[in-house]
This record gives sequence, structure tokens and C-alpha cells, in this order.
Amino acid sequence: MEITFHDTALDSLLPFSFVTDHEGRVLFFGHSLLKLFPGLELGAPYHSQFTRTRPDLGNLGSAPAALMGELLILARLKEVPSGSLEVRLRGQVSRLKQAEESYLFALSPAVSDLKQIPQWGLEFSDFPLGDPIFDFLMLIQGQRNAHAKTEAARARLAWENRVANLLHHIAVTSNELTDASQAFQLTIDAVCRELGWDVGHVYQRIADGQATLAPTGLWHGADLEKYRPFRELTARTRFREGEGMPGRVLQSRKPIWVDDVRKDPSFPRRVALEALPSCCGVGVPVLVQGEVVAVLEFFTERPPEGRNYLSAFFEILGVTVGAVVARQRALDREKEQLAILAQASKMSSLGELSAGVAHEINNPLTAISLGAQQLEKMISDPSISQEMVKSAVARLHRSVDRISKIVSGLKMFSREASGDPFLETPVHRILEETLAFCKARFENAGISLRYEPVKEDCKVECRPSQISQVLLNLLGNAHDAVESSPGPWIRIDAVDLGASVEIRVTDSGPGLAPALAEKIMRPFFTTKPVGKGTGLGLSISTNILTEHHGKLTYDASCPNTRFVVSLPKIHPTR
Amino acid sequence: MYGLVNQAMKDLVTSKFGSDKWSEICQKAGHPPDDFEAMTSYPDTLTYSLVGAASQILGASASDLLRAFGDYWVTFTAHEGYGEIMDMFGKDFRSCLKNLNGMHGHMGAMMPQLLPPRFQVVETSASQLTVHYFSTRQGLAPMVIGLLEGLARKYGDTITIQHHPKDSRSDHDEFEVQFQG
Ligand code: HEM
Repeated sequence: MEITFHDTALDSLLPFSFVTDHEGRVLFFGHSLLKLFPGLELGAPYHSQFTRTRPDLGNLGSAPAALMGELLILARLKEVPSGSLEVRLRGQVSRLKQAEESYLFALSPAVSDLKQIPQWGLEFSDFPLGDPIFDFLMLIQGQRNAHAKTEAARARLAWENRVANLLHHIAVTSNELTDASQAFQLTIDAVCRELGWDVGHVYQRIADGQATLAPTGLWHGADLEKYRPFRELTARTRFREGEGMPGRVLQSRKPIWVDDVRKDPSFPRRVALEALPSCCGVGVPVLVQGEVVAVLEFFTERPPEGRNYLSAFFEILGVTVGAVVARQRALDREKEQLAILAQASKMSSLGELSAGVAHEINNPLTAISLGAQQLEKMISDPSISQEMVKSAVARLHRSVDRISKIVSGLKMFSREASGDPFLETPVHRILEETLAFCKARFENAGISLRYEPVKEDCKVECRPSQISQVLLNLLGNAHDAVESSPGPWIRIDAVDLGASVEIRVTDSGPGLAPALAEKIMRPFFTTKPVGKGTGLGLSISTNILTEHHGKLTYDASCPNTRFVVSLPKIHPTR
Repeated sequence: MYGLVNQAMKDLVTSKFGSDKWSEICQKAGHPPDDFEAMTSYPDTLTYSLVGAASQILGASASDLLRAFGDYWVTFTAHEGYGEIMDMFGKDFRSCLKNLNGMHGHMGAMMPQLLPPRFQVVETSASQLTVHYFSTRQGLAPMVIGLLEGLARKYGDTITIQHHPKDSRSDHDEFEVQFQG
């Protein structure tokens, strides 16, 4: 019998199969089977060349006829570069020709992964199109690809979500901060922790007229010994615009990435990182109105994925942190300006006061001079008792005390008090010391001053000189308002409300028109003729009282003109 | 065509021109700018209208786009998990070309709706071969040029291609591939 197997359709459809006679001697091998096992021999029985693992040898012989209709598994060792491995073939036996009794072993390699195919020295073209096992493996591979894609998309989404949350966290937390250093530290900590960067540091723009970045002491994660040289070198390295990673960020105002700073000639600090296996860096501009005020820099030994997304994140981050810097600057500026204004207004009221003060001092001075004349007479009069001398001297002392009180009050009043501690102070003392400055001035103007004594134990925690300033301002306003009206009076009193105290300054005026009452607390608003008032009195007073957690209000319910200063007895931040 | 093809188009456009441009293209083509299901077959008309819209919005000719797309396809499929499959279909440019029919054929196991092209490769000399391209679709010849270029680059070959479009002389497109050096 002569079958040229490779001439038949079978060879292309079943290239891993073979044909035997009725005793199992192989007549033909498929071409892919021969490629898989080049040592196969024609004429020799198949069972001497393969191990049969199915069906069970015990109850069946190896004659092909007996195997028909069974699942057939044959195995043979294959030499591969790494040693030898067992390759299995699966399939079934069927009778090919009745007369000469030949049998077809229709087989396919038992592969479970496409990757095994090249390991066996085979190619895809060794498999027939439509081979069920091969098709199945392709199907699995296709599913796997699609799955990997969704998995990757899911992981990416989760990561993007984390980055977005981080931005949200930093924005919310830093929104409460007015201290830029705190915001920088918070940011580098959060970025390193959440996004897995090893080291974070901040360069800050310094005001040297040129664009210079100086290192700061703000670090994250650089405590490790391996970063010590980098940390030390950084502490000694400043950058001009265009120099190094920070300097290039300053120039471009965009995040700048360096794949491996150890290999980048434009990264001068690379020498201190040479011991690391690799180091990716990014510089992030902190922007205030488009101007770089600081550069955050981050380093990691594992280059991060998703750079485009991260760059966008870093850009927004820089602006978010910049907002804190802007806020801090605005606050500093505001404080500075207020301090200057407060001082200026104090000086101007001081000027107004001097006349009154001179009068205040004049009275005790007159008393002293009279007392001195009296004493002179007493010295030459032997009938005068020691007691009388003593009481005259005591009167002198009282007058001197009174003058020194006024002088020291004046000194206290004129100095910058915004840094003073908050002291528990009796309200009556504040009122009396304040009145000491202006009593005479009111009397001279024919204004009757009514003072309702306040209980000794009514005290508030305050900066007494600032409260005096507020009251003096109110009294001064009242003075100007009623000066030229008939029967003018001004009353000052205090109401103890338990947790707080209200100090009220009322004058004989008829009250403010509603439109005026609304505007009166605004800065630079004044009802006085040009040159008379600064228009700052009430707004500065308001600021002082805000710092005291108190407030200044106009009492529209009073038939006269009344301003009320409310102060908590205990300063809440204590 | 399978979503894999449209997705590759999307990736190519977004990586080069940004996702806003892709959204514009989708809008013009009347398709939501979502991802495509790689293993789902979409109508050919969608792919054609995406190419048409991209050409208008990006101001490039459809044939330039298809050529760039063909070139991109080689790296894209490798990145999407088909790299190993492709590697197993040939160790070099020539064997890969010869196995293209078999590869697309096997691909049908995972993409039952696949309507692959057919190629016939004739070696005309040691440094030259002719690729005959048969397709039931129209106008994709520029993509074949890009594909051949991308494939050659992958295997480190430098080639020049001469395209003989189908005409009265021939019922299919032919590409004369000349190896340099
Ligand atoms: C692993 C790599 C590859 C994969 C997964 C793949 C898969 C595909 C798929 C899914 C289609 C769309 C057909 C449809 O959906 O009906 C296609 C079409 C096509 N493929 Fe491939 N392909 C690969 C490599 C190649 C290569 C290297 C060439 C090189 C010439 C090529 C030439 C083509 C052409 C010209 C078409 C357009 C269909 C047409 O002309 O009718 N492919 N392929």
C-alpha cells in the first residue's frame, strides 16, 4: 500500500497527525509533527515512539482498532535548549482505509498558552487554519488582551481619581492657611505620600532684584542617609533664571521633567545623587499672578507613569499653593498699612490732644507752685506743726503724681501697641485714664462731661492703650459734633453684661441720618470739614476691636448720638 | 471593522493632537467620543466617516492620515497585547509578510466577524519583492504603504515602496518593495 500522506488534503488539515497499519506501524507522519519531533521513524510502531497516557493501557492493547472512539493522549520527550520537555498530543483514531486496514491518528499538540508554541520550535504557520485548539488559544488571547485593557483603564482611572483627590485635599487644607511655608510643607508631604515620590523640597525666590532661587529648609523624605549629600549640596546651591532644573522652571513657568537627573548635564546637583540607581525629577512652579515665587521639586527612583496627567496636576497645584502665598502677602501688606495708618491717626489725635493735655497739666502745676509758696512760708513760721507740713508735702506729691500719670499715659498712648499682651484691666481705670486726657478740653469748650462711675470688679482682657485710643477717638468725634450746639453734653458709661462689657459714648446730638449711619464705619469716610479729620478714626477703631473680638456699633435706637464699644471679658484666643 | 481599528485611530489622534481634537472629529462624524470595544465589530462606514472628519478637522489628506495610521498600527497592536502573536508569525519582514494571510486567518478565531485583506508576496529579486493586495474595501491602499513602512522599521529594514494602483491593467493594488543597503 502506498500513501503519500503529504500529497493528501490530510497533511494540510491535520499536520500533527500520522497514519499506521493495523498493527500500529507508522506509514506517514504529518509535516508539522516531523518538525516538532525530527527523530520520528517511519515503519516503527507508534507505541515505541510515543508514551500513551490515555486510554488506560491495562484494558486495551495498542492496536489502533482497539483505540477507536477513545480520547487518545500521546506524549514524547523533546530536546530543547534548556533540557528536555514532554510534549503531549491529543486526538482520536479512525479507520482510514478498510481494505488495507490503515488508521489515521488525528492529533493536535496540547498547548494551553500560545507562548508554548515558539518554545517547542514551532511557528503559527505550522498550525492549520481552523485548528480547534489553536483557535481556542487565539480566543483566549483576545479575551486576555481586552481584559488587560479594561484592567489598565480601571487602574488608570483609580490613579487619576487619587491625584484629583489629592489636589482637592491640598486646595481645601491650604485654603485655611495664611502661612506660605506651612502650605509648602503640607504640599510636598502630601504629594510624596500619595503619589509615591521619594523626596520633596522647596526653592524660594528671594528679593535680590535679580531672579534668584534660594534653597529652604522645607524637605520631605530626605532624612535617609543616601540623600544626605544631596541635601547638603542643595543647602549650598542657589539658582539664577535658566540654571538647573529650578532655574529652568523659573524661566518657563511650567513644570519641567528630568528623566534621570544623574545623567543630565543641566542638573548641576547630579554629583550628589550618583549613588542612586536612577532618579527622575520634576520641578513645579508656584505662581502668583503668573510670576514664579517658588519652585517645588520632587525626586523618585521609580519613574512615574502618566506624565501628561501629572504635569496638568502639577500646574494646578502650583497655582493653588500660590494662592496661599498671595493671601499671606496681602495680609502682611494690610497689617503693615493699618499699623502705619493707626500710628498716623494717633499722632494727629495727639496733636489735637496736646492743647487739652497742657491744660490738664497746668492745673496740678498751679497747685504745686501754690503749695511750694505755702511751704516756704511755713518754714519761717515756728507755730506750724509737723503735721501741717506733712499734709502740704502730701498735696505736692499728689499733684506730681497726677502729672506723671498724664505724662506716662501720653507715652503709652503714642507708642505702637499692636504687639502688646492682652491684660486683664478694670474698665473704670481705662475710662478714667482716658478722661484724664480730655476733661479740660471739654470743660474749655463748655461741654459738660458726665461720667458714671464703673464698679471696681468690672474688668476686661484687652490692650488698655488701644481701647483708650478707641474711646478718645469717639470722645473727640462727640466733642466736634456738639461743640457749637446749645447746651452740649457728653456721657460715658459702661454696662456689665456678664460675659462682656459695653462702653457707651453718648452725646447731646440728635443721632445720625440712617444713610450716614450705614457709611460711617468705612475707611476714609468723614463728616468733618476738609483738613479736620482723617476719616480713619472709626475704621481703625473697628480693626482694633476686631483684634479684641469685640465690636464698635452705632446705636440707632438711642434718641441721641450713641456709639457702643463691646468687649468680651475674656479674650477668646487665650 | 473591529473596534480595535477605530480605537487605534483615536489613540493616534489624541496622542498627536490632543483629546479636544478627537472630540471634534467624533462630533463631526456623529459618534460619541467614547472608547471603542476592541472586540466588537463596527460598521465600516463609521471608520470611513472618522477618517473623513479627521481629514477635515486636522487639515490633512485622507491618504496621509491612512498612511500614518498604517505605520501606527504596528506599534499600537504590539502595545495592545498582539505583539507576541505578531512575533510568532515571523522573525523578519519577509516571513512576516508571507504569513499575513495566516495571521489574519487565525485572528478570525477571536474576531469571528473579521473580514481581513489578502496578500500575495512575490520575491522578484534578492532585494525586491512585490506585494499584491486584495481587499473587499475601497481606498485603503495608503494604509498598506504605512503598514509596510511600520513593519520594515520594526525589523530594522529600510525600504522604498512604489505603489501601482489598480487600474485597467490590474484588478488590485500592487506595491513594489525595494530594500536599501
Ligand atoms: C498583530 C497585528 C495585526 C492585527 C491584530 C490585525 C488585525 C486587523 C483587524 C482587526 C483588521 C480589521 C478588519 C475587520 O475588522 O474586518 C485588519 C485589517 C487590515 N489589516 Fe491587519 N492586523 C495586524 C497586522 C497587520 C499587518 C502587519 C498588516 C500589513 C500589511 C495588516 C494589514 C491589514 C490591512 C491592509 C487591513 C485593512 C482591511 C482591508 O484591506 O480590507 N495587518 N487587521
